[in-house]
Amino acid sequence: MNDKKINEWLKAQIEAETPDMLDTLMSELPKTEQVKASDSVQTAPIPMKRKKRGIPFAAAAVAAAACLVLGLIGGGIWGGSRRPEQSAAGGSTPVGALAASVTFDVNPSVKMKIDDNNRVISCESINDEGKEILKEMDLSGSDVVVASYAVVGGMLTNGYLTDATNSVLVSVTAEDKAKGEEVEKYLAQELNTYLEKSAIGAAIIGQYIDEDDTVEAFAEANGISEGKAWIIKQLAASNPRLTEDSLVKLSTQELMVLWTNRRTEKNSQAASGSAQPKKNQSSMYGTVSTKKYISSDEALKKALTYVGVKKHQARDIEVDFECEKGVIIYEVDFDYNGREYGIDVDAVSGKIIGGAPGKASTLKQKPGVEVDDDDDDDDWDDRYERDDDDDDDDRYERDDDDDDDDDDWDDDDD
Amino acid sequence: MTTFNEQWMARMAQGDSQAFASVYEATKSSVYGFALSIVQNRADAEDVMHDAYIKLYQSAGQYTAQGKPMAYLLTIVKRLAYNKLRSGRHLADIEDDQRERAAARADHTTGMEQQVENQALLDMALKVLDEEERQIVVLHALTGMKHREIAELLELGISTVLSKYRRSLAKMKNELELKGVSL
Repeated sequence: MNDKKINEWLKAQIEAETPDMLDTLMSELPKTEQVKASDSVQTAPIPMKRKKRGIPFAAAAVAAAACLVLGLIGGGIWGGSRRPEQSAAGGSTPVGALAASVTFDVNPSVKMKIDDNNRVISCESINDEGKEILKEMDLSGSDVVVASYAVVGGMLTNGYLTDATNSVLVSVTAEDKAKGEEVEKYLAQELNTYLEKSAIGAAIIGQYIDEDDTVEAFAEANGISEGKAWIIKQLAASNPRLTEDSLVKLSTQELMVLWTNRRTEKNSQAASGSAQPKKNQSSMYGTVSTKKYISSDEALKKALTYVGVKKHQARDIEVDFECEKGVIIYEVDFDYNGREYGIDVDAVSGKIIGGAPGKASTLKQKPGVEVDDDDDDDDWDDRYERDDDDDDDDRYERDDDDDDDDDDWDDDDD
Repeated sequence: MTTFNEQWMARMAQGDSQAFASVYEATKSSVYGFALSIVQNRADAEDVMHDAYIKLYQSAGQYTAQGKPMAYLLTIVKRLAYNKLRSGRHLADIEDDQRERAAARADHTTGMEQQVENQALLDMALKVLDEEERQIVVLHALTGMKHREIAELLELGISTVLSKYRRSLAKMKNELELKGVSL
């Protein structure tokens, strides 16, 4: 009785007793309401609820403030026809009622509220690094574009925005969605122009977010911005292996790496790091830096070496970025000699996770290496009898005293 | 059993009931088997199966093409099955239910007797496995998913899946041999 036979038996048994309910189901379809994909940025089901703000505002001048702040560079930055009428830039004119809010995430996390004349009503920090940036800055009454240069400039100066931590997540929420999206697009563009002058090669990711109670609650409960909360929810929805709780611990940079490498259409550039911006939904400038990580080619090399297989011998090679229990890894999958292999490689250190280093016979099983061959005969099966389930998850315990990489994790505090 | 063609998802989202039928035929045993491996009784497995297909039809518009429509469907099954478990059916009820259904089936022709026997055999084989082993071995036998994909669906590490899979086969082999089943 070999494995194949058992599998076939199991399959036959279940198929034989599977009920036939197609007719019943078909009759229920016409009454079943289908949920359409919403227009806003999302990759999987997320409950959407519009929260009424109840603050009326002048239709003509609404320009939903987008992303956070920029520096104090003085007015007149807005060019072209999109600039609405507004009073002189500067803090002397009183600010109006809330029209929109913008959050901005690098490591520091800042939230800004804007009135319908694009002036800053208030600005608050969401985390400690944000506090540091906003220290001694009084941005209320300033034009939003001007104010954002100040904040981004502050992040550059204080070393939060670097060539390795180069991602700027800009998120807009507004009562008027159309205006909000327009402003998000425009401001991401402005920010990009501004940062092009610096040498770091920043990546700007802009997004418009619908007002959503669940996202707000999640953000508040975890002490993060709504922009980050939104990305986390979408990542978790797009990939069953990512849980919201594990993602909350990641830095903005790490989230952006996962975001731009997330599963999308099969023929899109999943591994390139620059996602295609969706029409009217989000903006993307630059490339999210993966300097901290080894390349996918290196990960593949490590995995192949570990198993003792040459690249030309392997078939169906797949290398994917993943996040396993808060650790960013490469999953390297390939076939060799009719068997499947699956190896997890730490994306920062290049270590094979859980496996002992050194040359491995292609037929030996190691933790973290998947070998699957149903044609094994009985004697062979016994090699895989192990009683060490407890060991399996230990590989994700990052207890390495000698591991410099732990320090990297501590830095990215949000 | 044919594979779950991703294009059916988009068509289902448009309300195409033929596409739904295609999905059903391609996946029914996987869905039923997986549900059964979690809830461990046939009445609940049928309920979960029914609800899962309705839920799939409802939410087809929100599926983004990622090449994994089966995983999408089975995730729905998993959630519904665990909800069912949590709704607090007592073990005694489950066993009563199984006995009733077995008795009901036995009332029919002798062909049914064989079916009852097979079901009992399946139950015994699965009973020797733990929660995760049951799910792993059923997914592997029914869906053709790779261990990596199974690990992802069940939110387990790949080593765990592999070692549990091997242990499941060994246990089942043992159990079947004890019952005098030769394959």
